[in-house]
Amino acid sequence: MQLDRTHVKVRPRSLSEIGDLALMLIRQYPQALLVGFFLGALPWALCNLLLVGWLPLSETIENVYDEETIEQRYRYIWLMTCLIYLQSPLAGAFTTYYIGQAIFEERPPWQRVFRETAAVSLRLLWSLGIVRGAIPAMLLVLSNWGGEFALGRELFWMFVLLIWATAIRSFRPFLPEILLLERCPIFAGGNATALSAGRRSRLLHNPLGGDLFGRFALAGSLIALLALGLFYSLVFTFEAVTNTSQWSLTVTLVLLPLALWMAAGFSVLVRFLSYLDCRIRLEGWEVELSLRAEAMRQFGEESGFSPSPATVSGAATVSGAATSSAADASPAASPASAVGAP
Amino acid sequence: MVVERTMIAVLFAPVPTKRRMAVSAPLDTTIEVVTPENIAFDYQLAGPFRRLPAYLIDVAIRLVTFLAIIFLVMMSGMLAGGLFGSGLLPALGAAVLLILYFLQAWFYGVFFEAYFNGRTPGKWICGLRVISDDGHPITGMQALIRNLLRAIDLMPATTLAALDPEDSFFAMLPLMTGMVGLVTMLSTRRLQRLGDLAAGTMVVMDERNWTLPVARVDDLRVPALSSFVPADYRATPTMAKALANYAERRLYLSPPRRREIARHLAVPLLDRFEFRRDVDPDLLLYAIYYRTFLADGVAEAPQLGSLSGFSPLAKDAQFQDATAAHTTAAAATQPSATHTAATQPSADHATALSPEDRS
Repeated sequence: MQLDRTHVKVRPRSLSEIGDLALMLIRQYPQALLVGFFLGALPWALCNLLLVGWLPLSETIENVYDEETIEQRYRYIWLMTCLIYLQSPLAGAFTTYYIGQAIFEERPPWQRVFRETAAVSLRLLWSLGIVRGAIPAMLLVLSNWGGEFALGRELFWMFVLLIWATAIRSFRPFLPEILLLERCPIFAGGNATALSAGRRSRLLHNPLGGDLFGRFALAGSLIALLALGLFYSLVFTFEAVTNTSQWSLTVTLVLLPLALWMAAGFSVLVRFLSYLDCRIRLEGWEVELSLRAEAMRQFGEESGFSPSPATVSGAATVSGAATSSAADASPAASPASAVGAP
Repeated sequence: MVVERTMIAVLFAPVPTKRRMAVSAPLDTTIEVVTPENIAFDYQLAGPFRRLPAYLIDVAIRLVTFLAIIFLVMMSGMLAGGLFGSGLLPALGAAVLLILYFLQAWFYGVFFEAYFNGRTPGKWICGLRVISDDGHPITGMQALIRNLLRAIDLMPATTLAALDPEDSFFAMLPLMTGMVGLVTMLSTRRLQRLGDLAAGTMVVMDERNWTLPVARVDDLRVPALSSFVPADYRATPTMAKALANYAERRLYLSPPRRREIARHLAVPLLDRFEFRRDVDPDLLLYAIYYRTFLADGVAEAPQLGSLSGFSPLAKDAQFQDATAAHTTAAAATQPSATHTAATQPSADHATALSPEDRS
């Protein structure tokens, strides 16, 4: 394996170029979204259907069009949008791992993707599901299942969760990559050389805090526009095909979540490419790959994966750069270690 | 019928592995265009996300210009009404506005792209340019075709009136989704929308300088260390590229991170060159970079100052360590430490090229 011959050109990029490259990634690796994101999002989409799908269904069964119908429609849209926004990092786990491997090998096998993702599923559920508000939001919605609109739970507390999740995700956007690709544990335990996900996250994110927030805000706005455009287009196509302009159950239960999930899938690719860009800017990742590759060419396969001395790790902590501990934690001489090992 | 079947079979035949691998160049927004004159250019393609700011700037310019035109037409109408009476003037003014709006909406892009080498003001501000597929500047006809087809690229345009039929807000909020253009760009290697495909054009970043700048070496230790690299050592092309990347990017990295990266290659090189193990990996790679790219252009031998007696070779290390120990002992017996450092630099030499010396 030649580390500098990646399937995606590794170099610093602007946010707009990352957006364009994400589109090219979709064309190059359609299965990352069609298989990976579909399978990742399916359980959450079904849960959402069970949690909030009763709202439009009950209105349709009543078959009375009044002011309450419109209110329930807005309520459904709000809750569905919040849930998908909070669940999207979890749903993108397979895609993240697949794309991370696809940088080094053209077609990573799906069995390995599922196996490796399942190996860190508890960490993902804790960090992305509970701490970042996806599962609490589902419980919040569940607590009012079948009831009237609850201002406190469905608006105020949901809004608080959204703010909380947005704040964390804007300043710590690359935690999914840290957990999935760098394989950092939640707790380092007694191992002095192991790097916990929290510490690694601080090392990676802190030096770029303001920049990351700006990028998150801009990318979020563009993806929100994309979701709106996708929804409008799907509704337009549906109306053109069925020759109707009614707001039907299909629009509510299928087209709205579909548009939101499509935008969420795109956001996973943008986030992954931003992660690479962050590592390139902060840690000179592309330089490291080219030097490792050159060492392997000149001195054999072992040279490219030589661990760094512990003294460097300590010094790197002070400087804000990455440490070599993550390399020790990940399987040596594998593509995962090349992506994950700083 | 037989021909049709053959065509279908060819279209859906699995691509041979060799061919598939051959075309799998690293995914990037850069594309190489070979002109009919057989000159190759690298262009950075601009997709929807790079074009969007330029488009929004152009829309803003058109809006401001049109508001200014409305103002001018109204002022002209008021003046003319005072002079010649106000009979047909409002209708005339409205007609002028409609014609100007039509011209601006459909020919703003055509005019600028045709006369300003593929750039509208928005594209100029964002550093974009429209060029032909073959790398040549676009013609007036190409500018016309791609701008006329923009209306289709922005489709579908729709409202969400069905969400709340009684609320006029949704009925009055039409959105040009641009999905036709987005899907077309997604499907083409050169990120072309329908207008680009029809006109044979693409949008690229208007960058001129693609060569890596040669890093300036100010550190005296670099030429000193490079002089000890064996004379028969020649960097391979891949090594030279890796060194150039390293020298360009090292200034943006912290010193510990530089060493962490550099040691992947520097540690085996230290063994090959038979250097001491405490030579700074960052400094070694920088010295090889200097030797590869800069040393030949330097006519005079570098002024090494206090480093002139130092050797990074492992075989000299024992002698230098002994000298350093002797100097330390001598310094302890002499009253002036500064005098010792100036006249007997060997004590500094021992750590001159080691990582601890770097700040």
